Order: sequence, then structure tokens, then C-alpha cells
Amino acid sequence: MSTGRVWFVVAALIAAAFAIAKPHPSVAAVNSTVNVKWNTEAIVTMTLTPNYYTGFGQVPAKIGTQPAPTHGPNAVAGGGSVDFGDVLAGTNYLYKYAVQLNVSSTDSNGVNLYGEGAADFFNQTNSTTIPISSAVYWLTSTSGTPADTNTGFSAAVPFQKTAGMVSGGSFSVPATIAYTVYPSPIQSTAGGNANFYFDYQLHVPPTAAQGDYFVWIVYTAIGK
Amino acid sequence: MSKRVRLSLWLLLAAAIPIAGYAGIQQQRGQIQVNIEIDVTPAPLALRTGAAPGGSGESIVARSRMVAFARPAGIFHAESLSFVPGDLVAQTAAQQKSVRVDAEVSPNPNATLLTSNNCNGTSGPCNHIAIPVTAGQTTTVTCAYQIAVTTTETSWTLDHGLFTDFENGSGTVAFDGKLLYNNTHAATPIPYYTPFVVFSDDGGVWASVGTGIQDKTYCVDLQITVPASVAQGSYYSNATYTLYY
Repeated sequence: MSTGRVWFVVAALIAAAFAIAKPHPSVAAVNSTVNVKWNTEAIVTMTLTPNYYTGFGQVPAKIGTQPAPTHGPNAVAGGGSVDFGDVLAGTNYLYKYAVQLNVSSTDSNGVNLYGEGAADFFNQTNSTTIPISSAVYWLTSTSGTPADTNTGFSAAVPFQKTAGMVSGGSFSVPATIAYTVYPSPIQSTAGGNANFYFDYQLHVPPTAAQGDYFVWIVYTAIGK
Repeated sequence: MSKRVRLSLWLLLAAAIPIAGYAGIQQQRGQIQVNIEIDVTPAPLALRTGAAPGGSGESIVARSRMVAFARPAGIFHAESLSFVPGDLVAQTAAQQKSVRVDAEVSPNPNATLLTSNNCNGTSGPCNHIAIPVTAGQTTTVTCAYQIAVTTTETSWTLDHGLFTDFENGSGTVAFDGKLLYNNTHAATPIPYYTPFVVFSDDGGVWASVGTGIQDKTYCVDLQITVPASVAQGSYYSNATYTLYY
């Protein structure tokens, strides 16, 4: 037997041995049901519209017939900032139709909405601050139909200064907040699409120094 | 009475009315608010009285038994797991938007006529106070805040009241504002607490705190018993103080 033929026979024997030793997968498999639970995060979208309805603006807290709303130069219909304009120390104000939030989500459980101040109420003139929780408040409003009946005396909730990590937040750069722990939600939805309408109140302390103040209010929406 | 005498009497009366009216009318000089937040913890669950269960099983309402070992129903091996492209979508965890609040504050010479200070003894202006309570239990806060009148006027009147009942963040009334009692006193507490009037419920009127001359500071003790049925949460109303002279 030639050397080449010997190697051919050896190779054939090895191949035959492997074919016998290795069972075919279809023979070894056991049919069974495998349930895979695949959790996904919801798709959440949100739009924010300041000064969302005709008649937006500030009115001082007053019993009886309400004055016509006014606002500062940075407030424009459907945009800009919530600008109370000129206010007096030791006086309370309501800002009507301040912010509309439209939140939609694919999460059937709905969405939690968080709203916090990125900082305290900052006086650009002398770099002092007023605690935001004693100055800027929110309360629910209407879409404009029916008309908003809130006044500067209506019950309102103070904004809290966030404990999260703030980025941006200068006068011209919007603030964002990175949360490790979320605060209590200010509102929630049951699912689908929802609109939230907010008025703001400003309670100016009697000792507030003269100056131009600002603070960023950051809203966060996340599936439950 | 002659016609001339009657005419004279009418003229005298007409002249006297404005004088008397002027003496009795005071104008509003200052009005402030203190935002009151009631943070409600649910009432504790009712406990069943009686001795702890002893050797008898009669009082045992639930029992569990631990087995010495557990045997799994089966062992499974996954040969492979694959996902079909196109069925999974990159998701966004959260959405964030922000809005700026601006104000240009001017000094107000009348701002110090009427002020609220010292929330829970903390010095400084007091615009907002939070009171933690347990539903169904009475909570008392001594000198929760102070109301100060600072004036040289020799005759003034101070009114107070809540503007609304207590509401949650969605504007829904949760419980009656008259459940909040106050003991507003200058030097020593008065012997009893009285419920705040609620302006929106009680005919649009405030209640009188009192009258005074020149400077005076009031301590406002608060007392509240939130019904046990009120859900956990935070509820708000504005206590309003108005100064006249």
C-alpha cells in the first residue's frame, strides 16, 4: 500500500469516527417553550410653551376686580420667559398662562412630571439670592377656555431648589438637571397624551434688594 | 318747626355725615401672605388589642412553614438566543425642558409696614411654612411665625384669614381651611384657639386680629387635626394679613 493510500484510509477512519461520536443537533435538542420578558423604556416627548394664551402676564394680588395683566419685555406670546416685569418688594403677584407642557408617552402606565428650580432666585445686580421656595410658586391653570380664575391669593405650591446636578443655568443658557434620585413628581399622567397648564406666583420678600432677578425652572418627564 | 329751621337741620346733618364717616373709615395700607403647607402622613393602621399568641393556634391568623430544602422543577439550557433586527428601537429615558422666570424688583417704602417673620423660630422673612402632621392626630406649632406691624400710626386694625381651603397641587380641595386653628397673640397666648375664617367660603370677609397703636408683633400659634381619611400628600393655602389705618 502506498503511503498516500495509507493516509487516505486513516483520514477516512477519523472522519467516520467523528461522524459516529458527534450526535446531530436535531437529535440532542429538547423542544421547550422559552419566555423572554423584554423590558424597554418608554418613548417620552414633551414640549414647553411659555405665555401660551392671550392675556398672559402678571397681576398683583388684589381682592375684587382683577387688573389687566402686564409683563416684562422678555415675555412674548408663545415664547420668551415668564417675565413678571417691574414688581415691588413686599408684594405678591400672579402670572397667568405662564407655561403649557404637552407630554406624550408610549408607556401605558403614564408619565411622572417633575418641576424644580435649577437654583435660588438670583439677583444679577448684586449677586444675592432669595430662596426659591419662598419666592416662586406654581398652581394649575386652564387652557384659556374656560378662563383662568386664579388670583394672587390662590393656593400655590413653592418650587424647590433641585438637589440634582445642574448644567447651564446662566441668564442666557437654559439649565438642565441630572438626577440620581428623582424628587416627588408635581403631576402625573395615566398614559397617552396630556397637557398641563400652569400659573406662577411671585412672593417678593419685603427685604428683597433692588435688582433684576432670574431663575430657571426645569421640567422633567419620565415614564413611570 | 318752620321751613327755615328744618332746612338748617338738614344742612347740619349733611355736613356732619362726612365728618363721622371720615373718622370711621380706614384704608388698606398693607397686605401680606404666608403660604401654609400641610404635609400629611397617613394615619397609622389600627392595631388589634390583646395578648400575643401563645401555645394555642386559635389566635394565629396566618402561618407559614419553611421546608428543609427546595428542588427546582426542572433545569433548562438555552442553546441560543437571537433577536431579529428591526424589532428594537433606541429609547429616550426622559425629556427635559426649562423656562426662565424674570423679575425686576423695586424697593417699596411701605413694604415694612406689615411683615411676616421667623418661620419656626428661624430669623428672617417668612413667606412659606411647612407643617408635618399625621392624619387623625392633633398637631400644634407654637409661634409658627410672627406678624409684625411697624408704624407710627396711633390707630390701626389688623385682619387675617385663609383665602381658600387646603388644596393639593392640582387645585382640588382636600380639607376645610377651618380645620386650621390659630392663637394669634402679642405677649401671652390667649386661652383658646380659633379657626381661621376662609375668605372664599365665608362671604368674602376677613376676621379681625385686633387693633393697636404704633409697633406690635404677634406670635401665631397653629393647631390642626387633619381627618384620618385625608391621603398622604402636601396641601396648601395662603394665610392673608391686612393692615388698615
